[in-house]
Amino acid sequence: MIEDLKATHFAAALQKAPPLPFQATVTRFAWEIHRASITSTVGAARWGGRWHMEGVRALYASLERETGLAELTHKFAPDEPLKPASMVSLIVSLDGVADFAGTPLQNALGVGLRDLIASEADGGYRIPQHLGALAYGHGLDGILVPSAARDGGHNLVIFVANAQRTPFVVVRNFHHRSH
Amino acid sequence: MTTATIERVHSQSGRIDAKLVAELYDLKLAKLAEILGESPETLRKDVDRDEAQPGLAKLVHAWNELEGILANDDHIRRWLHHPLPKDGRRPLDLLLGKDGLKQFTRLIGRIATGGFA
Repeated sequence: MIEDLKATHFAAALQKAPPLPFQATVTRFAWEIHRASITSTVGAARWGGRWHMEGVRALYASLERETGLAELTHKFAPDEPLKPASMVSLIVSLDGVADFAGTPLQNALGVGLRDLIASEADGGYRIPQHLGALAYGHGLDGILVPSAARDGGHNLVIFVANAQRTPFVVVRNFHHRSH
Repeated sequence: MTTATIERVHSQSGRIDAKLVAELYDLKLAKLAEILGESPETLRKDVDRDEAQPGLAKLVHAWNELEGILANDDHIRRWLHHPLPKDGRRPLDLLLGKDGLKQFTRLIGRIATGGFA
């Protein structure tokens, strides 16, 4: 639970931040057994996450491939033998996102990186979940956030229900036409 | 759920046997009863009782998810006993703590479905 004063400040700061358009190719990994649902938001909606509450259809992806792999495997030691995983690239085009990974918005909110990536065991989901809920409530298509799994990494959280048009295309086959 | 997991935890009645689930997780039956909110004596006398089935099914499903990620049973049991990187909590402690079944199944659910850190 965020104190009332802080919650009011967060809401005002986010309201002042202009939504930014976002276009990029991002990456998402899934365990092989869940390959068919690699872009599904069912698991996220059921279990909740750092930047969204249970019930919200959120799709998390990474701006760097290394970050995506770190996010999938972060609960396992580096030398733990793991079963296969799959990767997809998503070509994303969003009309309005908030950049919580950037210092301008962090400064406006009065939060630091540590407030956004602290472990869940230390109550580290409290502030990000609140900020994510605000962004979702403001109707933003998504948010850019720092990775808690890889230092310096960046993630994108797409709020699928808010997107006015198709938020992403999964890269499968490119059909080249030669002339 | 894999056939192997189903065969390992179901009794001849077709229901999930708490004793077999306890063996899977390397837990004492009394501890499993505590996790399920059951009396140890009642569960010992009736290991596949109806009231225990929903909780047992969640544990079997969680095990099945971990089978899709970790190399084998030994690795799953070892992982359950070790602190999570950048977190410090042991998955088994979550299971044995307050609201344990809910906390544990959420952890496994997030891991299995690609939940971020």
